Amino acid sequence: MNYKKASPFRLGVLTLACVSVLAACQTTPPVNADLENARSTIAQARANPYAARAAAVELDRAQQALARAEKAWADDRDREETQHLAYLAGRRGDIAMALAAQAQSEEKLQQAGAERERVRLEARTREAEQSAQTARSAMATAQSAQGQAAQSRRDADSARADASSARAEVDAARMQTAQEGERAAALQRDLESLQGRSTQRGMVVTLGDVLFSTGRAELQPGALRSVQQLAQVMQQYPERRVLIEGFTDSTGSLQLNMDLSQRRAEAFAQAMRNAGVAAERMEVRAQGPAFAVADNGNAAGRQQNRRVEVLFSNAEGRFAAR
Amino acid sequence: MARHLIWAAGLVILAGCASTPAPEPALAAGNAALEAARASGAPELAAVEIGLARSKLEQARTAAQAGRAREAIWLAEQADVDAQLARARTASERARRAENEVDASLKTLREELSRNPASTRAVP
Repeated sequence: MNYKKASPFRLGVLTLACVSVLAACQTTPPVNADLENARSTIAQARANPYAARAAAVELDRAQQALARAEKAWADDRDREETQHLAYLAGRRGDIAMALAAQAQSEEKLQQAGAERERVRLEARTREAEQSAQTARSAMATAQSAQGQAAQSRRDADSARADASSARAEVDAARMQTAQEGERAAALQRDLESLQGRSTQRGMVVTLGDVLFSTGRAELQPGALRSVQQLAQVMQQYPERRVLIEGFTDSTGSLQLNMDLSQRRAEAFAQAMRNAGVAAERMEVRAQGPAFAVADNGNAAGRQQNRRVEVLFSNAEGRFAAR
Repeated sequence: MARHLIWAAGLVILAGCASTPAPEPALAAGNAALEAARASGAPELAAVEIGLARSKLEQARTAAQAGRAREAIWLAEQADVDAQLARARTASERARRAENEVDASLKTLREELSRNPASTRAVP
């Protein structure tokens, strides 16, 4: 009941007193060094971008602690309590800074780790490329060697073929030579019965003037035997041709002797044709008194010089020049 | 009447002043923070901070035993934040060392590569 006696005026006075006290509290308090330190620490922490990300909660707590310290200082001017609360606030700021530093280190750690992996990968890639390059090079070398080997093989095959071919040619030539040699030897044997002789020009059969009457070109009947034998030989050696040369002694004019030797050679050729030797296999030549084989100064020599020589060609049908 | 009110107000104020809480919860919190810091490796990586926390917690206990509750609470609270800071600095120091190690290995790797870019090539 006593409360009812309190007049509005007295309550007003009391309220005013309280407000006054509060107002006094809210006037700008004197500077407190501990508070300033804490404010500075927390401001620094707030400015750190990593703290904003990684230590938001701690920054809030620091801010709240700072507010309590400021309130204690403003309200009570209690230096000890303000110092204590400012210490707590500053430490919260330090913790926020430590968390920020940790976040920064972890970020760098991650980046450095990624960078290290990148460098390693790059190195491995380079190694792989070098290995591939080495392999390619080795393969190219191998292929080149293979190519060269194949080429060498081809060359060798070709050389072998050439050699074989050459050998075959040589064999063929040798065989031909042997055959030709055999046939030449056989020809020689066949002509021996005709008193044929081997000269530098080839096989020559000489028919003496006994086959002809003196000064005449008709063959004596006895010459036919020689003609027959020669014709037979020529049938056996169809590759051979004959050069029929007429010769005289030096008696009489050259013109007469040339004419006589011509007619005697032709008479012989005609007899050969009659014996079956083709005309194109024979050549006729008048030599007159040239190429004497004996002395024209005596009768025996002159007789030797009056003659017909039958020269056999080589296997190709050609005559050696005199 | 007014006198009664003034007394009542005075009692309230005194009660506020005299209502200093018991220091035990603060001591327990400080101790827990200290243990957490120790477990995180602070003795090796943040020796100064944890040393400070340990020392303050000890002083807080002494004050509590001596009946100086307010001092005990303040010291315990300071030991608490000191221990928390020790733990935070332990973690940041650990991260910093890991970062340095990776940096060093990266540097070594780069040096090896620049010194011997053709690492697979046989030395002639």
